[in-house]
Amino acid sequence: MRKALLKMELLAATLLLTVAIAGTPSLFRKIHSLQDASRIYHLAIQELSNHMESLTRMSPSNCEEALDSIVVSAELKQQIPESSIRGQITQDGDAWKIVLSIQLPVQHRSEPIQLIGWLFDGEKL
Amino acid sequence: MKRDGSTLMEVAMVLPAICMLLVLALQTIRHTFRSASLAKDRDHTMQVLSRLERQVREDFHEATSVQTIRPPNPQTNQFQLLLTDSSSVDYQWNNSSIVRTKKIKDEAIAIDKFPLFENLEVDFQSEDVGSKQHLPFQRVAILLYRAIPGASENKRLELQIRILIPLQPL
Repeated sequence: MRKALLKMELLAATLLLTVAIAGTPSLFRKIHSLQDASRIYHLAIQELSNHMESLTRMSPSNCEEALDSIVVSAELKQQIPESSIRGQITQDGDAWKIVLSIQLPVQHRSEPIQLIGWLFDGEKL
Repeated sequence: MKRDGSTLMEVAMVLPAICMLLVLALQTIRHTFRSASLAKDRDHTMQVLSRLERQVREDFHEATSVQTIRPPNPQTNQFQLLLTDSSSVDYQWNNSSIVRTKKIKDEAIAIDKFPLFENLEVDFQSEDVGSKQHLPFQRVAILLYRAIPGASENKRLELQIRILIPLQPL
């Protein structure tokens, strides 16, 4: 039975350890960016919910006006400068459909996040 | 002839390299544990924030008016939502958590605690909008920040809730 290691074996083990250690910083960076992306996603959802809450309290004509001038809140803009929001309202039978979408920077999410709300005519319900 | 050992020069070169590698390996292990702990904290914070957001929105939808109360201690702030003539909800916060107290005739009937994170900053804004859809509204915004000492962006937004409260029944 051998009592020692060959230099070649030690060299190979050291090389493997070096490669493993060298790969970890990028993994830590990835974890950090994923956590940040998750925070940004939640903020975007909250932004859409805040706007939708206000819009669903309006009449369809006021809602259309508000959608023409809709902008991302100053606080969110400060955190995510490249974010933008837009929305549209369409009539669907007796109801009005409001579609809000927020576009985040590509590094966080390439597709816009959408939230759909409905306005019903109280008199017809 | 085959050598039995290494020269002093060879050992002097290899030992620092091994030491450096070991230090790096230990640092990696430390970072791994720290990342796991941070991820666990983050997950917990997200759950609490989600619970808080749902609760605040529910309370605001029930509320008839909001009033801000600033007690003498600057470390503690609170605001109060009046739900009906006899019931109210107080939200009180300190450096790391928010406490919700539901009261009926000034007697606490339910207390919820939302443990969040260190260096919590709450920005509470309230203003009367005048009229929207011909009715007066109160616009309320609650913004939760995490202050990061020493970072370039020294405040990180964690939660934003904006609600319009009709001052007259719709």
